[in-house]
Amino acid sequence: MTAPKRTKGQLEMGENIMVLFAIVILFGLGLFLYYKFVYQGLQDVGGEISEQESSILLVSVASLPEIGCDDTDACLDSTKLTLFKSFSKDKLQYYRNKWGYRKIWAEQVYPAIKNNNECTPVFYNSLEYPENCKYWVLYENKPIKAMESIKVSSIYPIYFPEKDVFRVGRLNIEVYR
Amino acid sequence: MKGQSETIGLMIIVILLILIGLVFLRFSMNKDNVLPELRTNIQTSNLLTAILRYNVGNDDVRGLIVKCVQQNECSVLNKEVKAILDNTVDKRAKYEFKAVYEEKEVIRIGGCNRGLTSNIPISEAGLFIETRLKICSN
Repeated sequence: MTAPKRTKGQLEMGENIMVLFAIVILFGLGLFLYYKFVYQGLQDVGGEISEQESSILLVSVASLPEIGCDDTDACLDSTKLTLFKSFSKDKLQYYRNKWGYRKIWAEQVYPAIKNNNECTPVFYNSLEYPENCKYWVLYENKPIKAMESIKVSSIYPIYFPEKDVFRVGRLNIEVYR
Repeated sequence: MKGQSETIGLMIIVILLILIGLVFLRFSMNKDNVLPELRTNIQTSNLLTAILRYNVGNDDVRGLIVKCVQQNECSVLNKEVKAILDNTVDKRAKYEFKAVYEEKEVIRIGGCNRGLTSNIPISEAGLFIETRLKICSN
């Protein structure tokens, strides 16, 4: 018994099917890559918009009367920073609507503080203040599942009214996405 | 003959794919860089404000600059401003802080060529001094 001999037409048909298969695979790969690029591009744009929003927010937070100094220059008042958490407790929903999923905190940068304590009213009432604490958490609303976060920050003078001195600080905003 | 025409067809497809890829790359790389610059500009301006307001003993940096012009006592000013800049400017970036009085440089800390500059004038004790801070992100 011998195997049936293939005709030229059958061979060409097989060849065409192979070419068609290769084209479909290539097309699928191209489509996959295209959507991957578009998705990545959209994510980048989303990240950029969040960063821009937070940069604008940085400026507006520093000029808030409940945080900023009373004079015209952009500056943070350390007493207001210490009291902001207890002040904002009753208005938490207001700030959540305003700031969303973010963490906003200020820290002393220069002179450098050796410890890593949060500045609370307890530290504020101590004689060692402001050397006994480093940072103030003003607001924090973290989603249960955050994929990534973007941080923006800017240097601001921090005013200590009880000593009438200015130090160098940093205001940070972290956006959860 | 048939083989040659198939090869030419394949080459045309490859060239077309390369062209499409190049056009795609050209558009994906052409991004607007104005906003990061604006952000850096605001940050430079805030940093200069913070430096000038910083207190060293009974004086602030403004007072130290005036002292430097009037009495040529610039060592504390030099030390403090350099320490602030080293603590606040990103390690990958360079900075240049200058105070200019009557077209003459009173003090210069650091140095860099191209960057965003922020100016704040000081008008104290009958003197008009211009302070400049330049941050060059390399």
